[in-house]
Amino acid sequence: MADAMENEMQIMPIGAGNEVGRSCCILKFMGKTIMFDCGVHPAYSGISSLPFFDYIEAQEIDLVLITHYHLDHAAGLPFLMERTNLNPEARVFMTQPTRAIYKALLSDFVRVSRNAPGEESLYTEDDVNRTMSRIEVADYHAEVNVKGIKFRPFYAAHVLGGAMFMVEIAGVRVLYTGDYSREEDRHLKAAEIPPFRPDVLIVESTYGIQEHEPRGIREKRFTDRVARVVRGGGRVLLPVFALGRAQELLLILDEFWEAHPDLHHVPIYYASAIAQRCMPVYQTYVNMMNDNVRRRFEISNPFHFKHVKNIKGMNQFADDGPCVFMASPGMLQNGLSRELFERWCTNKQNGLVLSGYSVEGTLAKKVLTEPETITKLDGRQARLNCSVDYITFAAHADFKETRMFVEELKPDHCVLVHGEKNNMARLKGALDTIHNKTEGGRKLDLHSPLNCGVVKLKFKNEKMAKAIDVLPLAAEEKPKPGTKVSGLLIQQEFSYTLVKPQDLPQYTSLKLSQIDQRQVLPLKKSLVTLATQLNTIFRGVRFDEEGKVISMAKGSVLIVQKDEHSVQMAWASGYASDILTEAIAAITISDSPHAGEPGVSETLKLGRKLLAARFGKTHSIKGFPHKVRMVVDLTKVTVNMLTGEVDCADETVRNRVLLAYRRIQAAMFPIPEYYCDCCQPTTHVQ
Amino acid sequence: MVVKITFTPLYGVHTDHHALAFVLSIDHFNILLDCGWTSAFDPQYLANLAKVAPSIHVVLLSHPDVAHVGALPYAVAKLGLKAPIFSTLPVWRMGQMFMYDTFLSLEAQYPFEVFNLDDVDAAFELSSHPEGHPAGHAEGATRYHLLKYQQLFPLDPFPKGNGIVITPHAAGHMLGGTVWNITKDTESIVYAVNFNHRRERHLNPTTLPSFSRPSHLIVGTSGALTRTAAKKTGELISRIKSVLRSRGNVLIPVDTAGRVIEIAVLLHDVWSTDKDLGQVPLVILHDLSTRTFEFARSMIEWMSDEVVRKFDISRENLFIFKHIKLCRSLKSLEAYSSPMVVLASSASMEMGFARQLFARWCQDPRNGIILVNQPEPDTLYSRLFKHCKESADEKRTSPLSMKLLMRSKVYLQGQELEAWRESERIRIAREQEEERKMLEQQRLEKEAEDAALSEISNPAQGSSTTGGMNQAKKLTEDSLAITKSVPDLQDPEAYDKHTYAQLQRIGVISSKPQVPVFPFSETHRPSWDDYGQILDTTRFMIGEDPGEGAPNRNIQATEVNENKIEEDQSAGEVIPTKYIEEELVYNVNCAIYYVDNSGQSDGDSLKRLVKEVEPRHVTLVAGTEEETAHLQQFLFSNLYSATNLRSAGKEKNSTDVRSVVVAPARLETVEITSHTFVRAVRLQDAMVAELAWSQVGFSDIAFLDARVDADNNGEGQLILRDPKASVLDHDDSMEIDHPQVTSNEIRSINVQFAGHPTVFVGTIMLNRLKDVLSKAGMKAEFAGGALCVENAETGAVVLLKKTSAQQVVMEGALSEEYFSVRDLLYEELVIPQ
Repeated sequence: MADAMENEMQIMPIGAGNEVGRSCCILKFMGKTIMFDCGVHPAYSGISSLPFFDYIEAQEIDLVLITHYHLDHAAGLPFLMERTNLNPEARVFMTQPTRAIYKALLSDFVRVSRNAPGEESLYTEDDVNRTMSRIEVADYHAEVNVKGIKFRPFYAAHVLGGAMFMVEIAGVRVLYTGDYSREEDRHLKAAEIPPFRPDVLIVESTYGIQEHEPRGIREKRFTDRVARVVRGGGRVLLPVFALGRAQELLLILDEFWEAHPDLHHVPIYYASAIAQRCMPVYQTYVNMMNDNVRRRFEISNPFHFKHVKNIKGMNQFADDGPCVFMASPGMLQNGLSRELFERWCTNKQNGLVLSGYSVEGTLAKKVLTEPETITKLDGRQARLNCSVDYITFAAHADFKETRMFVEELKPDHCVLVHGEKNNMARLKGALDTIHNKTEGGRKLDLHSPLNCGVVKLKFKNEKMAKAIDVLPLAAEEKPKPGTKVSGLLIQQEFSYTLVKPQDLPQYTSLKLSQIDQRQVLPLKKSLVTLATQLNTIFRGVRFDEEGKVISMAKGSVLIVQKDEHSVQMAWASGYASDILTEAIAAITISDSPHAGEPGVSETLKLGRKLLAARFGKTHSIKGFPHKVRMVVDLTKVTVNMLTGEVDCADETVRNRVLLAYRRIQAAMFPIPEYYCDCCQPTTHVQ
Repeated sequence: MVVKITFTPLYGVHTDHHALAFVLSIDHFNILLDCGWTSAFDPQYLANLAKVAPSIHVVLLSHPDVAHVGALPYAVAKLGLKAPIFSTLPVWRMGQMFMYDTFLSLEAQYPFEVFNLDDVDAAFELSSHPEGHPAGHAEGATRYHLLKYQQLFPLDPFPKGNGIVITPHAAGHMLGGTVWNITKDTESIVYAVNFNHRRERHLNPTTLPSFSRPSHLIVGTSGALTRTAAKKTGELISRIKSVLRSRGNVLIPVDTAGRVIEIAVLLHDVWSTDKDLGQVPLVILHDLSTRTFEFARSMIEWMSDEVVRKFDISRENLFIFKHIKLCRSLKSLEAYSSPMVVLASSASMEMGFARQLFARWCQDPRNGIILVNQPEPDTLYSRLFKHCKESADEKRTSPLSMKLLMRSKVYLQGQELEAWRESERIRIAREQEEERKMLEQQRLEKEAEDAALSEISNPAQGSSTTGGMNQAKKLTEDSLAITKSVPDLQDPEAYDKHTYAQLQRIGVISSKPQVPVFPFSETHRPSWDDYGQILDTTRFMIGEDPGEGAPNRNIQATEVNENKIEEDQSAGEVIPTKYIEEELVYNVNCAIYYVDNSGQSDGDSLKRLVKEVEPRHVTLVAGTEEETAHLQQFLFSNLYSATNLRSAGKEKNSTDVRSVVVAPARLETVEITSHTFVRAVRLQDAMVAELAWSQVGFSDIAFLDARVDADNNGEGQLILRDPKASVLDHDDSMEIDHPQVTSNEIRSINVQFAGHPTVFVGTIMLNRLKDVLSKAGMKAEFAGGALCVENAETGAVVLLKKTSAQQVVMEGALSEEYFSVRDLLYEELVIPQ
């Protein structure tokens, strides 16, 4: 069960190792395999966007944990579940809001990638629907046990339903953060510090050693910018990803509008079909958000926005004055946000506010360089006159947060994932400096594996057992070294319990069975002969002559006479008793020790005949078969043929008979002390 | 350590009252399990609770209804219950709804002063970390903590709570309903009252069966005498239809926020599929109906898999009702035409709209009342329930006629109102007079001082006392007059304000916010309107929506007395109320039906569940005398009969079987300590590696022989090591510590360790064994309850019989078959080495 190999933990990212995207991390320990997240890479498409599934044995996976619904964390899951040989017993968990949004988002993802030219989608919408029945939900803080792997989700902020997973296998704890943020915002709690220390921390490093501006300043910059543009009669374009941070921006805007009645006439538009489909999720799971939302929920649901108008598309939008327009996609690649941007960018009054992370090569990244003109989708140039601002609301931890997080959790090992190579290296260096190169720093074993690079960690295998009632002492006393301890050790899911064998059903769900055996054996001798035989071999044989019962081994084996030629042997199964009874059976079925020999009576008869031949007629005495009476020389003589005693009044006669009988006796019983107890229990030949 | 456990019921045992409160004490850490009250809300009932309340360390609540949380506000406010309270989120939220509704309904009937809404709010006030981080709780006074199902919550931060872990599990009876598991070391106490093993429309079944051999089960016996019955949805619908067909109204008395949800979901499902019923107004009527369902909407993570699935796939939230109207007053009921179906609180019918509607509708034979809950004694509901049962048994067919005390709060009207206004006017006048006198007095004093001063400076201007008086009076009158017309010209600020308002009125100054001009400060400025800074009034409301709750009734009254109030609008007067009591005789002519929908396990299932869980000790609570006795008898004879105990290895104190199933009386403290010595020991790796494990189900077992090793790291750990290993294998410290360990001693231990008792782990199933035997080529047949294996050629016969669940007898003549059957039998079981 326990060999040295199993104490090695292997952590292998097969996605998001020194990169951002396709988060997927494999953890192997004590023969268990867990996959954290299963995303796709946004910069690639098709098979190449998937994590490196070739490097793992999907049928070995016991558990898949998805931290949140973003595509780079969840979109690989339908492929894993429907298109690979994933262990059919493997269980897949995510939080409730994640599952609710996962389906909508992935169905949308399938549709979009199907429509993209020259691309094959990884899976179909049916595949997504099929996975839904297999995905289980885990609630925050509630512990789930999957065959010895215990895990609990904790709040991770980032997006609604975002979770960090604390996994415990055989007493070793690993915390996988996924994307997290230690900053509380409008609707989400900050990522929690779990109440117990992890041994290993697998943490994202998206922002490396950057530090965010304080939230208040960012928020104020954002609202001021928006307000200034609309008050100046301009239009504000907010390109956003449909779900996640968009809800936060809506909350900020709605609150700001509420506080500024002069803005009430300026509409806020939010155009996203998928977001609209997912709003009920936000409106429903308010209990998983922070106190701010909960307090407001006491009065009304904050996700029933007062000033935000949902519109389906451009045809419903009359562009007739100042407005705030929130549209996807977030990086102005194409679609509605691009269309609006091209329409509005030439006017000085208008404004563009970018709130998310912009990837190289997108228009969003380009406008940040403040070019004179931009290229429209139709190839023509347009002047960029509108104001452009970049105010981040990304909800990833920055360096300060990561540093504090590591300091508070005090892990021994730290594995960095989900970060661009340089950012990750800088973060690693910075943490290394703080922990290992500074005096008084808590030593931290840091790793930043490449994709498919294995981090091997060793863990001392300390096996603790609960000993119940097996130690022979009272509770307060400490047993002396050398005290012997014996019992049944039960190992279940890496925990040990030591109990007395008979207590097993008390403390475990295991049942004990008892097997009583009753074997019928042929008997070729009297019961008393058997008892004598057994007595010569075994100790503690008791024979109850009245009840015709032989009991052995303190009554645990009983032999009862059934009829003349058979006995029944009864006992409770057990190693010792089975062996004992087999031996008894062998003795029982063996022939009687006296078989084939003339009986004593025969011998006595012969003796009588010999006496008669010598002394004349003999008479038997009723009740005493071994005694003979005869008349020699007119004197009465009684001979006890067994003892050889002769009774006679006349001394000479007596001596004569005695001498004669001795000779006869020598012929009859050549070996003295022959008799066994059964034949004549009380008498012995002298 | 032996964990000392005692259990004391405060009330809720051997009774048909539903209210529960028990004290479970683990090593002197006192846990109050539930804190219920009867619908009479008599403080006398809580006498036992009052005695122990200050000594309670934590409170665990299992359901949100009055029977489980009812006394909480009173206990917190008046009995000195300062302990932190734990429950699931729905129990907290819905519990609050229950208490609000209770207070509002009672207060509408008579001057209810036992507790008030502030007490409710105080009892349900969440801690600053409601979702329970163990850290930072210790200093908490009464603070409410929320837990999730399956969340292991260690109570270590609380004094004496060391090692105790509490975990809520689903009970399946009400939203958030909990079966509590309280563990310490090997002791695992399961507290399960009111649970349901059936899947309901909005709830998953209880997870009680997932417990296996807990050391203690505290189980409610109510319903122990009922039999399994089919689901009664059909019956409920046909009853409703039959009443509606005769153009009558249906009244279903329900609770505030518990079972009503299930019934609402059930009826809504029917309403959306049945076209005829779809036309009939379906109304849920109580003070907090809208709030309740709004909250329910946000708790779907606590509901059944089906509800969640529906939401995930189609975004259909169960509680956005298309067919159910949520009403909060009798008046709003008038908007709907008869016939209609009304679900009204309270379930006891002692208060609330259910009672009022009953009074209104019971005399009409066309109407019908459908009872769905278990009756609480001494209530109107129980009288109807009794009547319903009796007429079903045809013991009584005569219509019920009953005297009913109807109490209500009414707004003063007519002469009474005038009289009150008169007295009020006098009172106000008197107060004003007094105020004026006081002002005058102050002024006089001041004047006297001034006069004294001026006399010093200018003694020529002396003034008489009376003159001063007059002057003062005149001044007061003047100032009063001024406030009515123009601001005091002496006060420049007030004058400015006045002028500004005047200017605004004529349009010189715009009331709209102005376009900022330089210098423009970018700092956020509070916005202003005509009356100053705009305040979000909702910020000042605590807990309750102003649209609901107490003021609501005033608004209702406003509607009723509309014309009268208008006259006195200026005064902003609150119309006073008075309580009236009238005893009326009602001839109950309407139909009364009983269709059980109490959402609790029936007797048969209750017994099955307890058998399945196989607790080592059972404590019976709740339930009537008969129910308790019945279940106790059942458990004696079925689960804890002497033979069962022996085979289960429970020999040490099987002398008194009766001590295994206890049913304590009120205030009777029973000690239920198990006397188990538990110690944590560390197992040496090398020793564990050598064990010959056998696998049983999900666990591995092996015999272990070990010896206590010296504690060589000084942590006080007990280390077990291999007794056979020679001393040299151990590190030096070991040897130094114990030079007396000689090879001689080891040998003697080895001798002592020789051999183990044989234990057979597992259960023999004869029919499975039959298949095994057949596969091995043996002919096995069942004959007379025994499995009979026969060899046709030799005629050898082996019989296998089960004498109890865990006992098999094997019988046969000595033959080859005997031994091969025995080998196969042994293979069915696991024999640890």
